[in-house]
Amino acid sequence: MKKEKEKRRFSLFRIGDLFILLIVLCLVGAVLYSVFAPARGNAAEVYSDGKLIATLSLKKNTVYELDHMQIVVNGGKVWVEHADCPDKICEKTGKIYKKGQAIVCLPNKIAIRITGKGEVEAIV
Amino acid sequence: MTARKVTKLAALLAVALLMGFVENMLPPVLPVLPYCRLGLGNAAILLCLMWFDLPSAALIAVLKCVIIGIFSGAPISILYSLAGSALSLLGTWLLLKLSLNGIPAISAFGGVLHNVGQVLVAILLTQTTAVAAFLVYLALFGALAGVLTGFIAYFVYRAIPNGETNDDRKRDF
Repeated sequence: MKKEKEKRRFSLFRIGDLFILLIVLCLVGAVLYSVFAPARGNAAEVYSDGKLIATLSLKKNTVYELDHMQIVVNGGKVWVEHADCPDKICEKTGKIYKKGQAIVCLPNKIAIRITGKGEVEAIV
Repeated sequence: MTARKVTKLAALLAVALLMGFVENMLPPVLPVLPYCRLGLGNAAILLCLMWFDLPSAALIAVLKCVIIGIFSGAPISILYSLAGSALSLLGTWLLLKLSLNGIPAISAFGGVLHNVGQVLVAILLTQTTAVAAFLVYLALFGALAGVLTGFIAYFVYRAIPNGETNDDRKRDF
């Protein structure tokens, strides 16, 4: 049959695929980097007016009540559930769990920061 | 445009729509990224590009985006999918023209572009660059989904090189 003699216009793989493969590998690298590079923290430090007022372990699910806000630790993540500040930036920041991430409430001068320090930690 | 071509395009559009609707009913592929779809309907659009030409494929793609957008009850999603489809269609068409790549790789490239287009629209609409943080995940997912649709399109093309058994390939290409 004529059809079988004709050379196929499209193929499954060609040499140019290496270029696409390179792009995909870069994407894989980027995804792995953004997932694994910042290590999970294991404690959240709560600062009020620049002073450390509490250190919450991320391994324990707790609800920490402050005058102006309610901080929730659940499943290794920290977030602000309620705050009485007008802008609610702290609530909108969402859940944080990686070393170096922070939630800051400017009106109430509260900051929550994730650290990677060990379990043995003085609670001030 | 012959009646024969209209019929083939209609069949392709029907397949694309069906895939889209079924996908909307299924739960998300990755629970972490709930807005990710495999986009199997894009296999029909890729096939259209292989069987016919850019204008035909563009027609199918636009109709697919608009119809699925209207029927899924989220007309705003039309903007997202239109931008994604336009970008991915152009990229795919270009690579097909160059013919340096196999079909799955071309399709993977299209999948990446599709999600890039959607993220661009999201940044424009929400005015927040934070959306760009999702770009790498979406692009990678798009690439993998694209490989899948590429394989589907390739094997359908191999089985039916012209959308029918009679040969009018020379006129169409």
